[in-house]
Amino acid sequence: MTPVEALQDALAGEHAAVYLTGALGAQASKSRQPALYDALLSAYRAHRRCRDQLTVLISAHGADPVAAEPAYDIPEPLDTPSELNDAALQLEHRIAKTYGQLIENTAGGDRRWALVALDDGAVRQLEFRGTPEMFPGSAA
Amino acid sequence: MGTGAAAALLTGCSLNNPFRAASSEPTGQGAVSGTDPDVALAVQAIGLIRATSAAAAARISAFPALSSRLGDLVALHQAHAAALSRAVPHGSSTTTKTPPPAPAGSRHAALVAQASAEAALRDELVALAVRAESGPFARLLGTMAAGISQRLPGLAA
Repeated sequence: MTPVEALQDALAGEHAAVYLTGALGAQASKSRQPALYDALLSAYRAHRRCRDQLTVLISAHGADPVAAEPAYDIPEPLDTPSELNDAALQLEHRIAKTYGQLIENTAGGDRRWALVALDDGAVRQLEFRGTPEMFPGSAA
Repeated sequence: MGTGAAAALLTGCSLNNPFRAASSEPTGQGAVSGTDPDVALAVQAIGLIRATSAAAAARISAFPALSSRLGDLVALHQAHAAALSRAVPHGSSTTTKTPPPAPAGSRHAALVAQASAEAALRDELVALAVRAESGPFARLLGTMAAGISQRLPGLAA
C-alpha cells in the first residue's frame, strides 16, 4: 500500500465516521443522555477535523481526495442509549485500526500526524466506555 | 491507487463503512519481525519502558494504595517490553542501566510524578515511531503510545 492509498483509506473511513457520528448523534437525546450526546458531538467534530486534514494531506501529494459516499450502512438496532454507545465505540475501534494502518504505510510528517490521530482516537474510545487496550490500533 | 483500493472505492457505500469487518492483518507480534534497521530503536524503547515500569513498581512499593491505579501500567509496560524484545536479536543488551530512585514525598506527589513519566514515555515512543524505518514497527510503537494515553486519565489526581 502506498502512502497515498493509506491516506485515501483513512479519508474514506473518516467520511463514514462523520456520517455515522452525525447519525448517532441525531438519535441521542441532549436532555436525557447529556453525556452520550456530548461525547457523540465531540466525536463528530473530531472526525470532521480529521477528514479535513486528510483532504489537505492527500492534496499535498498531488492526488484527488476520495469523495464521500452518498450514504453508509448504519448499524441496527439503535433503540437504546447503550446501543448508540456501543455503535460509537465500535466505530472508534475501526478508525483506530485505520490509523494504525496509516502509521504503517507513511513516513515523516504524514506518519507523525497519523500517530496523533491514533492517540486521540484511542482516548476517545474511553468516552464511549471503552476499556484501555494493550495495543490500540493494532491489526489484531 | 492500487487495484484493491480502487475496487473498494467503486463498489458501493458499505465498503468504506467502519462497521464492516476489517480484513485480517499481521498481529503486533508479527509486525516486529524483519525490523533489523530498527533494532537500535527497539533497544532504546525497551530501556525507556523498563525504566518507567520500574519507577511505577517502586511507587507501588512505597505507597501500596497506588497499586490499583499503577498496577495496570506495570502490566502494560511488561506486555510492551515483551513485544519489543521479539524484535531484538538474541544476545542484545536490553537491561535497564539504573534502578529508579526511591520515591519521596506524598502519595499524591508520587502519582503526579508517575503520570508525568508516563506522558514522557508516550512522547518518546511517538518520536521513535516517526524515526522507525519499518512501517509495522512504527505501528507497534504507535499502538504502545496510544495504550499509555488511554491510561493517563486514570492517573489524574
